[in-house]
Amino acid sequence: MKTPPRNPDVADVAPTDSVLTVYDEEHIITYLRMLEADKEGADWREVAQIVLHINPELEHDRAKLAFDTHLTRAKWMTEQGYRHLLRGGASNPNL
Amino acid sequence: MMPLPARQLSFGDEYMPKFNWRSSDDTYYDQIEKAEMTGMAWECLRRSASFERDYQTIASSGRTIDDGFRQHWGLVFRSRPGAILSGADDLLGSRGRADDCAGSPGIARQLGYTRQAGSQQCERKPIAASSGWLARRAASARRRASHLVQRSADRHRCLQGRIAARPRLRFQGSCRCALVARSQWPAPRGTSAHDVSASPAANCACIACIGRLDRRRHLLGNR
Repeated sequence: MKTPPRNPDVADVAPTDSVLTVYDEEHIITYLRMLEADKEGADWREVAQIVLHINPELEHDRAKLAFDTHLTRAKWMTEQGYRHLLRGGASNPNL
Repeated sequence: MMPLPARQLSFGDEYMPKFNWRSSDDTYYDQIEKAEMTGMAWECLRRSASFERDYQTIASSGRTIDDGFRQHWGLVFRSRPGAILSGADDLLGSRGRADDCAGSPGIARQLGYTRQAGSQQCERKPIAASSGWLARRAASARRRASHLVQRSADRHRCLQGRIAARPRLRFQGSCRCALVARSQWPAPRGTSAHDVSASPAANCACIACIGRLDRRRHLLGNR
């Protein structure tokens, strides 16, 4: 697994695969930032702007969709995704 | 913008290191970038609401972390140095270190190495003299036992002599994932040393990587 980018751009929709994807590995810091923001109770628009690089004033629907799906995926990482990391990550063909 | 509701502190907040999610320059990210996948996995798990709830339930009841908890969450612990490890016998048939296994009946039985009463005495007796049949026999038995133990230790990817000075690993038999807490010291207030490794407060710097190869062997062994 490569060093995850610190502040990457995101897709409009986060993965919904049942296994860890390369996208997940590349956006692990994005997920952690979103979880921290969620725990803090931050406004989703601020998170979308700062973490996802999508302006909710200009692209409300896209920003909301990206926020919701990435937060869902971030929570999936805390329940299931971390186990895939332990098994070798997305590069493990036996997942 | 609407005022934010007052944040309710949850368990672990007192110890959970904070980072500034608004900034991309926080030193926390340095840790993540340097972390092995094990560390990243822990950073995810410790933010799991269910994990925190489970941990809180156990911690508030005064119970110790049990095998069910560890196996459910895929945790592996190091014990404190000098602790008695019943579990180590299940894995290695020994008390842990390869270099103190010469007297271990478990590994000897496992590998078909039968010791006579006399040789057992010899193995456990320090070799004071460099000559004499007793010393030679003891040395031979020790070499053979050490060799067998070393082979077994390699096979089970566990506890070679070089880690003798480190806290010993404790594996959970049926878990398929492995997070290894590097250390339980120092213990935060209100927790026992044993429990700290499972606390959501432990950051990824506290989590050791047992190595990709070792981890894969461990996983394969538990499938």
